Amino acid sequence: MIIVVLAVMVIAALYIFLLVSANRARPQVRANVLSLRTDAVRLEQYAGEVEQLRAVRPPTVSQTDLRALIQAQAESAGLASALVRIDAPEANRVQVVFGAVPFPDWLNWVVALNAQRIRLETCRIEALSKPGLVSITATFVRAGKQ
Amino acid sequence: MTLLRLYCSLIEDPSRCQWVLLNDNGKATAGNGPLSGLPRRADRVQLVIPAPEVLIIQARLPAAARRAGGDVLAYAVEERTVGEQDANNVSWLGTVGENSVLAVLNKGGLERWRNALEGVGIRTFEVQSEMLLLPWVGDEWSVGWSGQEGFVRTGNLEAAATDSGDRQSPPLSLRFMLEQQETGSRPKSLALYTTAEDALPDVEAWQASLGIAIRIAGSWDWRNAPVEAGTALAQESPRWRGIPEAASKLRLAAWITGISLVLHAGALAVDWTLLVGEQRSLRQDMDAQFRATFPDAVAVVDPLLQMRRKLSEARHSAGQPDVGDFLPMIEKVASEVKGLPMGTMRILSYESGRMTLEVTTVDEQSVRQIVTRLRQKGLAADQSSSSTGTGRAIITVRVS
Repeated sequence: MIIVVLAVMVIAALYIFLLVSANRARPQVRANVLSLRTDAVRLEQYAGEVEQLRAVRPPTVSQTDLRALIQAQAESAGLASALVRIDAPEANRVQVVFGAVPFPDWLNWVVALNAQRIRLETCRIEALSKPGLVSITATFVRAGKQ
Repeated sequence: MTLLRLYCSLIEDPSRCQWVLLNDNGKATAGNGPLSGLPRRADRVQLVIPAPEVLIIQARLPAAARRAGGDVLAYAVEERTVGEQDANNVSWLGTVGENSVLAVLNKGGLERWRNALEGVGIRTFEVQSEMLLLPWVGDEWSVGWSGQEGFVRTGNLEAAATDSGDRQSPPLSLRFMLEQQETGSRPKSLALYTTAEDALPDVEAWQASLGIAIRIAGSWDWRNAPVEAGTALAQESPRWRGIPEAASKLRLAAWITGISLVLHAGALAVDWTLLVGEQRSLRQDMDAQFRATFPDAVAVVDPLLQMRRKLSEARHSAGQPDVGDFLPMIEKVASEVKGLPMGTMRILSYESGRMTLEVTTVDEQSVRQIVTRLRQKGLAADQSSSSTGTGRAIITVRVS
């Protein structure tokens, strides 16, 4: 009798433990499944777009000197005085360093470059003690097949 | 400690009995009457079963049969008992050599006494055989003799009732038992206890008939047996008695509950299995989709993220903007952090669709609000574990 009672108690305890664990974990699994369904749809959309982009002929990459173009744009935007350094490690990649430049002016300059298919690849912008001024290290690349 | 001993015949009506109440200092109070008149509040209660109503036998049993208890034991000794096995209450007393010693009682009679005693509030008691209360020493057999019949105790757990005899003739069964003993195991003498007045037989005639010395041991009565004498044949406890009855009454409810629990567990397992299966299937489909689009991919760890990066590369190659570019990202981020006080945004870094903001002198709640708003804009934003307690927080933003 004692063994039967103990066995029933052990089975009941195991059942409750499994039930509680399963009930606790089930919403998480359900949420994961819902998230995965959304991801699967997005993945399919992305894949479709990739296929379409593969069919698009890549734009002709300009053969002009990217470094000279960027420097000229900086001068026309009035940022040349803040330009500390400009290097071109590759033909279609240029790194620029600004010492102290008003952030809105620099951002407008980036927009202007972007209109000429010159894309900002990386940057680090650090606020200076004087309000509105920042120091910037940025890398630009020419859009198109690299 | 007090011990109430009841002399209970299993074949008689359990409405009255002889009894004795023993206490530690050897004082005994005896009586004979209805159960309702029994002394109350005894620490222990013993039912002493008369010798002819207990059969003590030896049998060779497997260990499992001993553990199995009464019902199995009853069938294990069916060849040695009379009547239906279900009618016998068989209990295991111990072992002698390789044999088990079993006591057989009338189950119905015991049940009647159990019910009768329960009616007067006695629910816990042990069952003793009168035979095993008789004193016994090593190389001697003890005989209890009433003048017409008696019983013999041949060992610590072994005893038997005898048939009838008289003053001149000892019981035939006693003579038969002695004759059956091999030379080495034959007792040296018999200790003869008289259990009634004028019960003493002609000792010389008995000795001559039995071929063994007889020692007159005096009179003996179950009432005077020491408190610790005997071996319990059965133990009754109220704690466990009610459970089988309750269990049988609740059997239907237990079945329904059990089936419900099994169904519930089954449904839970099916639901769980379906969810896990769908999760696995979706992951496999996503991996397959990625590999179908990029057959050269070496490893697929996070197909969505990897596809997102490939799409970004494809857009750039085609000269098209991407939502992970600096300008669309800074536009979204700037609109959400414009409420911050001047000078709190210290550093902003950007690379490959990932923007990192370092803000200072901002409380944690403000940082959380910024993160929440960025997420609402469709960006994946996280607050770095790097402390806001020092007034410095790092927020990482990328295209989700």
